[in-house]
Amino acid sequence: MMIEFSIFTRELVLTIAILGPILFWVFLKIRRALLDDGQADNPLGIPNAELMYIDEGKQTKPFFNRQFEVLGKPDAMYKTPTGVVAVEYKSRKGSVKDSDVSQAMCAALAARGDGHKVYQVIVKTQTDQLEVDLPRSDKELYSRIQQDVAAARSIKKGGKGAANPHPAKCRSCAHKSSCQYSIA
Amino acid sequence: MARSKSNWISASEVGRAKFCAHALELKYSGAAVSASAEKARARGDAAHEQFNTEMRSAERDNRCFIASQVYGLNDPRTDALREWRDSVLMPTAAGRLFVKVYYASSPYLVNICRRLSVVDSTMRFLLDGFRRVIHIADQKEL
Repeated sequence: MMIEFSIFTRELVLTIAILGPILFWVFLKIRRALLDDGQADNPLGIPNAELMYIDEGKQTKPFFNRQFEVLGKPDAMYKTPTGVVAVEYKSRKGSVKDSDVSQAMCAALAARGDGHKVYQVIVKTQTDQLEVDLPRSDKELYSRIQQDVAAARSIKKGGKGAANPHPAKCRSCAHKSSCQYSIA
Repeated sequence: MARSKSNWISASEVGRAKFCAHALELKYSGAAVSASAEKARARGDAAHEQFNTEMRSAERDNRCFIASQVYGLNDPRTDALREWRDSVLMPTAAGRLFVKVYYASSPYLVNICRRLSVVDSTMRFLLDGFRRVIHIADQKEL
């Protein structure tokens, strides 16, 4: 009985000694694969994201935020486990500009008005990409663009807009030929 | 002169005001747009469409997971499984639930398939069997 037990024990120990590391290695591999799932299958590199909206041009209606009276369309929106990511795409090369971020934030605020829980905006040019985390409160988000919204409203109602000449800006401006401040 | 009484403002107007408020003023006053700017706009529209296509393609890739991983994204067998999903699973509540669970879990499995060829081979074997069970293979060969 004693001999049988010791043989059994020895075989058990041997089996564990051989299979144990193999199983442990398989466990580690699977665990690593599971934990590493952050890789994205979209051009923006957003992990675990599902494309939920694309601006198709004129046939896509904008979102409206009635509280702040802003409207807009992000270029795309991705649904992620933590909320919605709005995308603003600029076809030019070069870095992301402040004006791009303001536009993206305003479009995100508009989308929030229609019930989309946008928590981040991604602004992408051909050579650059910037992720901006948004405040949870709509009011706080609005406060970040309030100055620009006020300026746009004022101009829309007949006010004057201050010129902000800069060689690169003026070169890309659609109205450079009629602008007295242009330094293009 | 008041151009508009409405308080509503669009995101692109906000962006323009930040970029150069005078440019926005010129836009509202109907200032001419240069021919080069029109061309740039057309190029921008085309680039946007290209980007939309990229996003849609990537999404399609993302949604095909295991079959795409095993057979390839545009393989007829993958297409056949998509058709089966749309025609058999999606019309029923239970089928939609299954698809939802599958969408939630299969990216993990794909990740493992990418790393371990033995899992990839096993998935191929199982998918082939599954296709035989649902007669997709026969339908595609006809």
